[in-house]
Amino acid sequence: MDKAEILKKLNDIFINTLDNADIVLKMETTAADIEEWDSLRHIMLVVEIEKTMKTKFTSKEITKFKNVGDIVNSIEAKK
Amino acid sequence: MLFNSVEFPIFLLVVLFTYWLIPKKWFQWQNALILGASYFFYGWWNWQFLALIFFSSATDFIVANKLGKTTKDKTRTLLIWTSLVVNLGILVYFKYSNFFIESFVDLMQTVGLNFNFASLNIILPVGISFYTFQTLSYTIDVYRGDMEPSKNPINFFAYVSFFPQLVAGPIERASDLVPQFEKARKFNTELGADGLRQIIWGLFKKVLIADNLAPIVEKVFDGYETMPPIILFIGVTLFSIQIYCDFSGYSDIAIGTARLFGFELNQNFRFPFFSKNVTEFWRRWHISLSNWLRDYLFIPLSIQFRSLGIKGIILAMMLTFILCGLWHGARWTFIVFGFWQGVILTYEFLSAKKRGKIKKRMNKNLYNAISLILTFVFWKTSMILFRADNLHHAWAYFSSLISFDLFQFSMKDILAVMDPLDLLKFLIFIPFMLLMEILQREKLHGLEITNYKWYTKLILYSIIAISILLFTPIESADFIYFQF
Amino acid sequence: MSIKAFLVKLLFYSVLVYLINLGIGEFFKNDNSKKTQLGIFYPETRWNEFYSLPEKSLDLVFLGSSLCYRGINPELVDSLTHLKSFNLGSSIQSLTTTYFVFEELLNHQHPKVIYLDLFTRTLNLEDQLESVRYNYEFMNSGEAKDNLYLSGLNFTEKIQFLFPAFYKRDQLNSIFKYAFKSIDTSKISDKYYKKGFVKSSKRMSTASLNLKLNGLTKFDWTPTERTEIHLKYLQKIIDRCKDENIKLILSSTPIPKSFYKIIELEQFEKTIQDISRKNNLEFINYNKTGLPLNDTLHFKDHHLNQYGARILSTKIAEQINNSK
Repeated sequence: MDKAEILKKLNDIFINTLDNADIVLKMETTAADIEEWDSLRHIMLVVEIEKTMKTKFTSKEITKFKNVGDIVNSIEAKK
Repeated sequence: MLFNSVEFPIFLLVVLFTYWLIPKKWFQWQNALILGASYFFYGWWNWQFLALIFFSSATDFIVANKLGKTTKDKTRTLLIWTSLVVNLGILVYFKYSNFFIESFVDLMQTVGLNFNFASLNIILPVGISFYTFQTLSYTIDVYRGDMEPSKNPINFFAYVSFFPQLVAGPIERASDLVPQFEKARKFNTELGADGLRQIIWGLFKKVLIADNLAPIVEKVFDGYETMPPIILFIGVTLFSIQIYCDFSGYSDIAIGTARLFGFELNQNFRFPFFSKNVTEFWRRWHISLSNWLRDYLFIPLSIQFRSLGIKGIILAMMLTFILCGLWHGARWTFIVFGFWQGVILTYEFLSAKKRGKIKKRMNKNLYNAISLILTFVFWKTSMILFRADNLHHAWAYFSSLISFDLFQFSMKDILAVMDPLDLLKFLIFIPFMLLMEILQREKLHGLEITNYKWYTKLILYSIIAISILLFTPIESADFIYFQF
Repeated sequence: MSIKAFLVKLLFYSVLVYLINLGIGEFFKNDNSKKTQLGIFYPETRWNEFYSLPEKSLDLVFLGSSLCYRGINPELVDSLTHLKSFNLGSSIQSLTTTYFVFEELLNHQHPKVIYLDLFTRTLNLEDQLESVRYNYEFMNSGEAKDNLYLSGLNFTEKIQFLFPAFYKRDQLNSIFKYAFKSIDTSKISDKYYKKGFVKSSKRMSTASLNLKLNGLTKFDWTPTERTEIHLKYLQKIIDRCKDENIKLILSSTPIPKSFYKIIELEQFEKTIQDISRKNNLEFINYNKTGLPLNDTLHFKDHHLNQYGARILSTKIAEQINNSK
């Protein structure tokens, strides 16, 4: 799976979890760009991503996520 | 030294002038001056407690430096635990030991065992809840690799004890404030002038509103048994305004003072009374504390609990808010206060989708207005817990308030708890404060009126300054947040 | 904006606010003059009357707080003893204030006897500015007046003193109260009489007193940070009286019985007794001389009204006549 594919999958997860069909993710998108993406839903996103992508992040990785790109890279590194 | 004392402006002027007389390239000396001034400022209350700040700072400085030098996981874990145990240990000992002992004795009594423990006679060191959180943020950030350890102890010690925000926040992150100590500051007249405006605005809220409300709120909460429900309603409304003005006023003075020294602190209150739900309220109320709790408590907890799904998030949220309540003081009322916040936030979290649908179907302005009012009413109700002496008092107050007589309004009842002059003061100052804060809601504080005409500014400044002279209550009160 | 322009602007604002503050100070002063004319504000009248007396004409002077100037009527004492006396008591006159009033007294008079009336608040008052303001403005310029400011006040109070809009702000309450109606002088029951005495004609009921006693704590006998300073000035008064050969008598005017516990009378009395013994002075506690008093002989909590004052003044005159 390359970055573009991962990003596309992430986009679907974001739309479903945050309940906003207008979300278009880019690598540099941060929580500040999406109103619904707050600290509560952040963890829901992480859970969904782990489930869909069949991967497991470490606590350290999760705290380090600064934007969507970080998540994509982290998933890619695990594959 | 209190911000609203005669000594403070003199102290501030002396420090400020000396500070800016030091050439920019010697900014290390400026930091040393801040450190000295801050220890003097704190020592004014109680010089013995200076040892605590020093000890906290020294521990964290050494821990962070060692963290910077080692990559061994075991050593790093040991180091971070040292910092946590030392800081939280000091906090728990000074703030909570009496509470734990008393609760233990009570518990034993309910099962029939009588213990006769004398409460320890521990004085709460001013500001301890604020500076221990501040210095903890440093070691945790260094541990997580979010920032480099500071190499200069003077910079770091000055950061922990920085007098504008030492005793009641904002709780500044090391990664925000330490870098500001590590480079030269420039005097900027715009920043300085707006700092002064912010100080004036803070004094206005603290001295003219909070301090004047204090004795009336006290009267209502002490004598609630004989007061009609409408007065109880007004009493708790006034208390909500009092605590907002007290605490956000302090923050404004702190931020304004820091700006005079060329430092930028984070906004601590973003006009919380204009929130449309409680989740939003907590993002606008005491922001430096809620952010701290979010980053160092809620997020780590929710990551730990994430295998539990939604339940894990709720658990993390409840724990965070119960501890948030307890942070305010070693009392059951604060614990219940935190729990109650957690319950409402859980409700809001779970019902977000449903509320979104209702919002789409309703008139937007009407929906917003209702949300605004409901949020304020909820906040106000929880303020009973915040102000009450104990749970029994809170419950008795609340149940007397909920009554069919609530809408029986008479001027006589109001004048029984306040003088006509007090009433007039509140009818002028409170709406004026709210109006200014609505007009300035996108800005950093209520008096950031750079775009106003010069004569409007002149009139506003003069009226506020003269009002502070004329309407400071005869016996001025401490800042409420000092005790936390 | 340059730094210079900024500082100039700042200075301009500060001066402006300070001037408005002085203007408000003048307004407060006028308000007091009005009340002086109506006879309900006393210090100015008292000091003016004092200064109008012929030099060295007084035999006997009373110093103390409002308990003193409401409780001891010099006119009555004079008629019973054929002495010339005056009451220089003033509102919450702390011993520090008393000392400078005493200095000013000796600049003009040389009485043979001084009664110094003591109450808990005269020994533990913290806000010295509260006490100074009822004398400073009305005293003639001179060393005593200057020292009342320079030595009588601490640093904070000296600065506060420069802001009359601030330290006189309690006047706003009465100004506001009478902003929409004029003062009905016939309803005012206490007025300046003469020789420093203020006559209170209202009688207090026990019921209204009990209502007031709830939550009343400010009169308790707890030494404060200031007590030591007040006592230092008391010693200065005692020493100066010895040097000048003036007989100094310490006294306590009577208060309602229900006040005894509040002010912790026994402990207070013991403190004064220790001082009087050490300095070989007479101390008369009029709470314990068997005066036939009750609550209706008092006025507004602990002061005596004119009927009570009559009893006390007669007793004082009697004691003076006996000691002749």
